[in-house]
Amino acid sequence: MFFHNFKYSIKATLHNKPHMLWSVAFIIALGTLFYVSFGEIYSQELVNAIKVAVIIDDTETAEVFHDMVANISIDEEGGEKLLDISDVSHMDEAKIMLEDGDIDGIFYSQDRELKLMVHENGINQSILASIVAKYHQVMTVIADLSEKAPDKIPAVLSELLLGESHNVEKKTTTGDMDVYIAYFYNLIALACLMAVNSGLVITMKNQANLSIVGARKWVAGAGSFLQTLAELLAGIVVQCLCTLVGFLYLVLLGVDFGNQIGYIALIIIVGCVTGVSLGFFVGNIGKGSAALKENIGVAVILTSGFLSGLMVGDMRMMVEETCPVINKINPSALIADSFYALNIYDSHDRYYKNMITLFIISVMLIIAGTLFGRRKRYASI
Amino acid sequence: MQVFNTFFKIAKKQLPVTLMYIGIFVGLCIMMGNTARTDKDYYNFKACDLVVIDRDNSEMSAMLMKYLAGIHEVDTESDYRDEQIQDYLYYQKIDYVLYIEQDYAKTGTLTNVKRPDSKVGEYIDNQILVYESNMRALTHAGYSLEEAYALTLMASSADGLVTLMDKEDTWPPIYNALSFAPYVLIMVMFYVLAPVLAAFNHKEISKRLNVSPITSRSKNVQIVFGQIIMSIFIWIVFLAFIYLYYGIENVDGKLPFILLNSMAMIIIAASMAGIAGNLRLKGDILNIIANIIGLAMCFLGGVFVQVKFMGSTMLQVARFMPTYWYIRANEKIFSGDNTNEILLCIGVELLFALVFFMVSTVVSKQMRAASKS
Amino acid sequence: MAETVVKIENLVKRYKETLALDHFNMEIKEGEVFGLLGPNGSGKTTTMNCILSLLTYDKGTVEVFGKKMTPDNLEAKKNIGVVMQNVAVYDELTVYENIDYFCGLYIRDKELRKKYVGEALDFVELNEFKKFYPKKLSGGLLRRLNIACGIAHKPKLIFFDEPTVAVDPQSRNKILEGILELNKNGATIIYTSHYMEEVEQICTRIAIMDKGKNIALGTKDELKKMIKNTETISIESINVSEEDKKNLGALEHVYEVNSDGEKLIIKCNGGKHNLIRVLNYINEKNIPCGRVYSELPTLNDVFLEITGKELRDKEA
Repeated sequence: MFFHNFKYSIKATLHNKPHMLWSVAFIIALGTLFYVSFGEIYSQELVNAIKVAVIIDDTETAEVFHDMVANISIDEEGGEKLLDISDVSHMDEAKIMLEDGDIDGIFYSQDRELKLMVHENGINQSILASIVAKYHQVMTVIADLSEKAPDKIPAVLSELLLGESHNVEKKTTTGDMDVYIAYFYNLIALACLMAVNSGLVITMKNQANLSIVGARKWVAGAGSFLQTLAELLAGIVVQCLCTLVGFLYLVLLGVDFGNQIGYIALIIIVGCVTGVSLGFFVGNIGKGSAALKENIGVAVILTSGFLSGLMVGDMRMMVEETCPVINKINPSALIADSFYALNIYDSHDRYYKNMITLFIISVMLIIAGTLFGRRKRYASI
Repeated sequence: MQVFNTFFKIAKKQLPVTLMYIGIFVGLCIMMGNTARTDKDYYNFKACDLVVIDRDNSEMSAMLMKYLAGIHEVDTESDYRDEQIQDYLYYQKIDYVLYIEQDYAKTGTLTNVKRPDSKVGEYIDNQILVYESNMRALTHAGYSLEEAYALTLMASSADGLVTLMDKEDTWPPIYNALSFAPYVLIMVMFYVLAPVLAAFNHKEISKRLNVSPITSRSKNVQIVFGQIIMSIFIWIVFLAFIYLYYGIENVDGKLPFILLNSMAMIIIAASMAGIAGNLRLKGDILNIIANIIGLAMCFLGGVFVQVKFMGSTMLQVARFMPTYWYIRANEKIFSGDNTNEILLCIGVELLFALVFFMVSTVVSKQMRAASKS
Repeated sequence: MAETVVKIENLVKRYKETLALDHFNMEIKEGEVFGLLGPNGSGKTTTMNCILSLLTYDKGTVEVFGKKMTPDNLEAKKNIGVVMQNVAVYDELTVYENIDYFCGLYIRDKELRKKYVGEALDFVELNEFKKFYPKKLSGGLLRRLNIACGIAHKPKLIFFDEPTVAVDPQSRNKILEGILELNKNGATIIYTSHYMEEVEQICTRIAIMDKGKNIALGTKDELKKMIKNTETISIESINVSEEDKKNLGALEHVYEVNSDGEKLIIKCNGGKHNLIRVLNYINEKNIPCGRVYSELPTLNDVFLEITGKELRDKEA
């Protein structure tokens, strides 16, 4: 009976071509969109040369400034310099470039003081401001030393300009810290949870009050736990296939999920199990119509995705601060966090914790669904 | 007006679902609005989010912490686990972690954890280096710790040295909520309006209507009228929720434009839902397509991720999204821009609405023709 | 003595304010083709669903194969087949796959099931369509598929819930013949319909329902004997005076004379040669007329006499 049900459920689901095509198209369309949208954002956050204009009329100031910035490099070898100085000599021209966003700042002098003009608040502008601050620091210290200990000026100057850092970076992960990959994690999570539709369809085709096929099966005494499990398993298999195809597309596109293929496959499988279980549960509780239950299923997965950061990346952290328990039971968050854990951590502890939690949630949903939906009579069909 | 009455009979049956979706999406909208950075912006001129863990507890370490606290948001009392710190760094809740090691007073040893190769990390590294080199240089030159610190503090300040060309406005939270309105309106219209239209476009119902004495034109006019009323209802409910939560004190003379802009957006959403309804999309297919269109338009149009972070190619694509023009209009409304510029953006939105409406009409005709053959 | 297959006692079922079954009683013996006849809304489908334990009921008992019928009575369910009013098949499976699937819910043995499915396909004559999907089938063929799915596993008790709705006359006859054949092979049939002609044609015993009540029960002859009318004589294209009507009414065994435009309807109770007496009178009076025919009472007459209304609403 189990394999009989499984076989025909697979056939029926595979024959529902629109559903399968759109399930795959969902990941492909949004994945492409995310890839194109976020591709450049993270690289902009990495250190690269900042475009500036330097219009310092005062010679002395200009000399000190150029000496100071000459040693500021992006890379450790000192090859690429931090500032990309544009070839502009007039303030008006520079201001236009600043407004248009062609440069991030204008260094100029006023009353023999180095000053900076920027167009917006941003990290580039903050870096430029720190250069002005450093110049000001050097000049202030020199001025003070001139009065108190002028013989110390060379040593101090050397330390100020060439002093070495004792601040050592500790790398806590070898993983990719690109936060925008989290959108892809959440996309896969949503794709897995779209299996809620499969769970709902399976349930409705077993309930006499929701479908005529359900009535026929009900009369046949079908709907035993094993039979239902067979149908749910079929739904999981098909959804996994669709999600895996979409996932492979993302990998081909160039999204870096790492190379722990087996672990990734497990996330997708467990995610789809959770989706189907959720649909099964929603389909079995209450006396609502099929349409109402479909809408509830949709609302649940969209809310789950939202709270996990699908639309607004900060949402996950906000939830972590205000109500962390939600992140621990939200299926989308657990799936996305599993990908994150694989990426960032060498140990799989967190990954397994998430997988086990998802599995427990799925089992609870299936048990609850079975209890609510067990053989009963209806007041009306 | 039989068709019109029936439209609302069907819509009325969906009322609980309609209110559920409006409630959920407006709730998401308000939550989204509250996450948007205003005065605690990541890219704020000075302040980043730091965690500083003092393992030295000396006078020198205290001075360093005080120095950093003067510039950034510093969390010194945290008891974060390593895993937490990693998560917070990844999700950009914090930008930098500094460990002042036990022998700092003697050797000046510091350890940091930051996002690799990030500008913020380099920026803070640089600030710490400036402080360190200053303090070292001055103490070697004979200054006392306190004197060196005082001079370093004064010297490191950039106040008065940096001019901001255009002062950035701080906008009220309602701005952020309204920025997310396109997503709310598109999704609600897809889930609520499209099924009602699909019911009318059901193959057999459509045939029955076609052989009735009601002309095609009359039927379509009644259905469109029904769509308009339903859209207005959803629009009013949505705005009511937003205003109830945020109030209207901060909108001053912007209210008419806000209403116009949101109305244009709902017309667009209704037109798109009309296409879905005429294509008889329902169930899980409608769900998938609604998500693709809603998320795509909102990501590309700058609803979720600001347009300024997009590359130039994406910016060009964004212009083809009605949501882009909505966001632009919203920005112009709240920054008090020229009325003509605001109206231009809204005009473009209405053009999009017209295009979608025409597509919807063509689809309807094609489906009718297909059902006859 | 044939065993009781279905026994209903004092069944009461309410849908909110509406009383769908009002202390309904029924007993069906093994081997019968039992008809449940009644107008729309009389409670036929509700009765069937209560027997199948699909619906809750407020009062009464239902027994199938001698045991109380409950949702968990899998033993009974194994021997029951249902042909529902609406077509209950998977659109995503072919004709063969649908029959095999539903048969598989009852028969585990693969070889046996294969045999049964083949026989079911032969029975409903859908062999040439076995690889078709339901969407490609006409209404009549869909109905046949619906039947095949309900009977493939060779149940002992089969419910047919208005199986000939929207079916062409040829298919209808085939369905009725098929039902008789199933009965011949040992199945007890419960057949619900509001078409009295079908019920009269195949049912061995009939229960007439109205407003949730069992208003008459018996074979068709027994039911017809329940009413006064034993013969209806109709004379077309005739014009009779009131006096003639009176005189015709006074004839032996005649108890009612009505005219319906140019048609005269004379109802008789008992007796033989009533037609001859009527014709003699007309001849004597030289009353011109058209067609004359005599009919035995129908179940509609039975229903009309008991309830005062037609079994089916007058069709336009």
